Amino acid sequence: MQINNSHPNLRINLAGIRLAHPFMNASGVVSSSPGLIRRLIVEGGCSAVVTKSITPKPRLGNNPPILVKLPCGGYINAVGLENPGKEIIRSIVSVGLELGVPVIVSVAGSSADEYLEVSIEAEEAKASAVELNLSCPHTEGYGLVFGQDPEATKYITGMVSSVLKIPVIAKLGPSDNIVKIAGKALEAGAKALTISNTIKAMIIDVYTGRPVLTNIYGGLSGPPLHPVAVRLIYEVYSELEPLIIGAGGVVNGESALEMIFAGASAIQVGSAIIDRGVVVLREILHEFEELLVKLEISDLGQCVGLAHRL
Amino acid sequence: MLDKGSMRPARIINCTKISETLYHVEIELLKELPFKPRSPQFVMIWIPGLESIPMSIAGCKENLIELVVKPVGRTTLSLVNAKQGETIGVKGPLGKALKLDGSGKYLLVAGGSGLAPIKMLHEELESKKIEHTIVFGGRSASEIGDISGLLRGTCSRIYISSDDGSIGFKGSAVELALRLLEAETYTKVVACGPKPMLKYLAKGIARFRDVETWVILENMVKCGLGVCGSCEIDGSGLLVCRDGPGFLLEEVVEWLEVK
Ligand SMILES: Cc1cc2nc3c(=O)[nH]c(=O)nc-3n(C[C@H](O)[C@H](O)[C@H](O)COP(=O)(O)OP(=O)(O)OC[C@H]3O[C@@H](n4cnc5c(N)ncnc54)[C@H](O)[C@@H]3O)c2cc1C
Ligand SMILES: Cc1cc2nc3c(=O)[nH]c(=O)nc-3n(C[C@H](O)[C@H](O)[C@H](O)COP(=O)(O)O)c2cc1C
Ligand code: FES
Repeated sequence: MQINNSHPNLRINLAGIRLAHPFMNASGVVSSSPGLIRRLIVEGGCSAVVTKSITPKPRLGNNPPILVKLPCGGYINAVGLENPGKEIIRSIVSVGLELGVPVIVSVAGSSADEYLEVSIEAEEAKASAVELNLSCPHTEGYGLVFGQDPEATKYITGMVSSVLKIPVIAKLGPSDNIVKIAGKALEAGAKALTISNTIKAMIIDVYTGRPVLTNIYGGLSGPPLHPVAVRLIYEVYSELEPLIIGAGGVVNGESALEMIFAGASAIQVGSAIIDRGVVVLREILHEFEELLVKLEISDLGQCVGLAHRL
Repeated sequence: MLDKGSMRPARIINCTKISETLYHVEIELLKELPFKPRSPQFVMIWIPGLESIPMSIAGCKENLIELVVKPVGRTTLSLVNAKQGETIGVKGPLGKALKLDGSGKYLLVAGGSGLAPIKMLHEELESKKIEHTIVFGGRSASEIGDISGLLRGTCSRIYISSDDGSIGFKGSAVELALRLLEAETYTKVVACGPKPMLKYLAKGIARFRDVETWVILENMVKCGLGVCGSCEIDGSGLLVCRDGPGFLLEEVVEWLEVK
């Protein structure tokens, strides 16, 4: 690789969406309203923003406790797909249009028709892409039931992809069947995959003997998820080499580059924002750039999936 | 390691009724907080089997936290009716601390459970020997109860108001505060109470241009860590749980005026 001390080229083309650098927020983290999306762009410097997962109608979500930090680092959450419904999409997307930053609308539903309904609204609102949340682990009847089933993944992804002109991204969660599920999503028309969502998990308070989350089950995110997410990305890339957006426990330049080496082209950050605020995105970007310079990597594109080629 | 977002075990050690509507609750933490809380920071109190709800920290000494609770529903009722020694969970301290100037004179205005962060602020000002006046208002003498017993100090004066005039100044806490602002010079006003009270204050205080006014707000707090968006002040991108709960009046005045 060439020695290059100037800024490395971080630009990427994500299924036709041009991104100035690989870092965006992960769905569900400060992303449920126009005001919060504006903060992700202005204070966080995201190259694209991903909305909270949106269902056709408003959803109230679970009662607190819905989010707890774990003693081992990382979080467990059971927000429960609380969202204002598809009516919010236009005002959120218009913030991205105003500021010149692509908006990816995360879509959830309890049936293929609901995924389609929200996806159509996103396209009409001029979103740059939709991300199908096929992997929410803590809301009965939504997401995970589809994302763990290769045929359901294919059906929903296919239904949305055949109608939309904008790119469809399928967001998958941890599964031993990930390669098969990823293959079905791509076969059905997904242009990229986001890997990974949280892992279904729970915590019990030993002083009272009770599960802490009102919902009992939640999703594990943050650093404990990172090696699992790296494994999932590595497995999928080695079999299918698709366009991947990596998510799971990215907290600094190194944990981001690890995902790129495993096969991701872009990165989403969630839990680190809870710890350090939206400015963490700028901090990680800065560290990432410095790391590339130190490693003499001049072009990000060269090192996507690097670990598979050495 | 446990941090502010973790659930810490704690025990309810005491609960005293201080007025017809307010209770003073003391909680012992079985694991210490990650840092010393400051007003108007709050905790999420988890009553196992019920919910977890936001409560301002009204006082803190080592492993002891004080709350001032106004029971209004299931969780607050069970908090004030809890048995001594009952185990609960505490997440926090959450939110931002107010920056205190070393000089100047403060006017603190409280109504209802808004007393909690004001009590905490009063104790901080006392320890820094900063002069301040506290105004606490309620509907009648029974709502005022033994408030003064909670607010002892040497750098402060306490004024009481009641709507029916059964104790102290006849009128609202805001009316009384505005009179004090006319009579004396204050550099900062900090107010906490029901939204209509803060709205009324916003209107009345507009003419005192040199006074920096802070309001401590409540909204539906769920995650408490600035993630879920539940506590956003409509459309502003400001989160009560992370950017607040104390805000400069100018930042939130529009929201106060709605409805
Ligand atoms: C930052 C902050 C600090 C607070 N400090 C205090 C305090 O020191 N003392 C005190 O008595 N009260 C305080 N409150 C209000 C207190 O949290 C609510 O009264 C309590 O959550 C009601 O719960 P409940 O189950 O008893 O009542 P419910 O029957 O659930 O609700 C009664 C009313 O309380 C409000 N409420 C319910 N859940 C919440 C929630 N999660 N967050 C905010 N409001 C809610 C709603 O407006 C509802 O109409 C504070 C609120 C906030 C946001
Ligand atoms: C509080 C919280 C809410 C989340 N909500 C959503 C959501 O609505 N839709 C979704 O696809 N993923 C959601 N996620 C998962 C994240 O987008 C991300 O995939 C996961 O947290 C891993 O990234 P991280 O380790 O950087 O947090 C949520 C995560 C957290 C912590
Ligand atoms: S309560 Fe979740 S963002 Fe404030």
